[in-house]
Amino acid sequence: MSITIALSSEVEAILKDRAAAAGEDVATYAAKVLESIARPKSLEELSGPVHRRFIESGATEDELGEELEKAKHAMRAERRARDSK
Amino acid sequence: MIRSGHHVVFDCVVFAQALISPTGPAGECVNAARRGLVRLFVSEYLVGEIRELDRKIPAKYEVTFQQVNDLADQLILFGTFVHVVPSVYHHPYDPDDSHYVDLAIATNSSLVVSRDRHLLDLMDQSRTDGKDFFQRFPHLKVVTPDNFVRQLRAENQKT
Repeated sequence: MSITIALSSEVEAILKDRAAAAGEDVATYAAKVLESIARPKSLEELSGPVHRRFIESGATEDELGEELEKAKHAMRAERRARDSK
Repeated sequence: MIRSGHHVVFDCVVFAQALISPTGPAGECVNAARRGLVRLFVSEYLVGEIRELDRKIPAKYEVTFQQVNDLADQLILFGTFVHVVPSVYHHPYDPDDSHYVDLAIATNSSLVVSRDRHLLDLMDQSRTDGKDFFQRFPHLKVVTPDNFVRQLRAENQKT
């Protein structure tokens, strides 16, 4: 099915950015977003092989939490450095 | 079945952890929101942190941008999006954590679920910042995903 929808220039820009980041054209990306709304994937489906890799890593939930907290603070430090320029 | 009417805010790490370990406590928190068992509030800042965190997640898990993006896109389906979040709190040690408190206050949420030490320390009333926080926001608690899941299960057993 093909549909035509009107988007504000702001939404168009966001959609283009996200599609580019995902390595897809806008139409393909928008179709995937709509599909995810119509039939949202479960967390397990979203995770896919990542969950298996976590189990195989032998890391505990606490260790994973610590790794992700470190990742968050690294991300924020990078953002602050970027914003201060 | 878990049943709760909590208004909650989740730290961006809860979502990332749920993606990597969907059957763990963080996954259980996110699934409680997906099932509408708690009312989850999200903001542009929070969703932005989830998307940005993708670049820093340890490479060994091979999480893709698309996976993070898909999860972030889903938040609009099961979370309540808050467009304007007034700044009312300034975290003394990590200003970037302030938004999570602001979002909770703006939405009358009773819980912020996080593993962040700076946020969890706000519950320690032997600390000056914890005492100040409790005086200003006595109804607001910061709990770990594990404790939140335990609380939900305990509430469910009572009903």
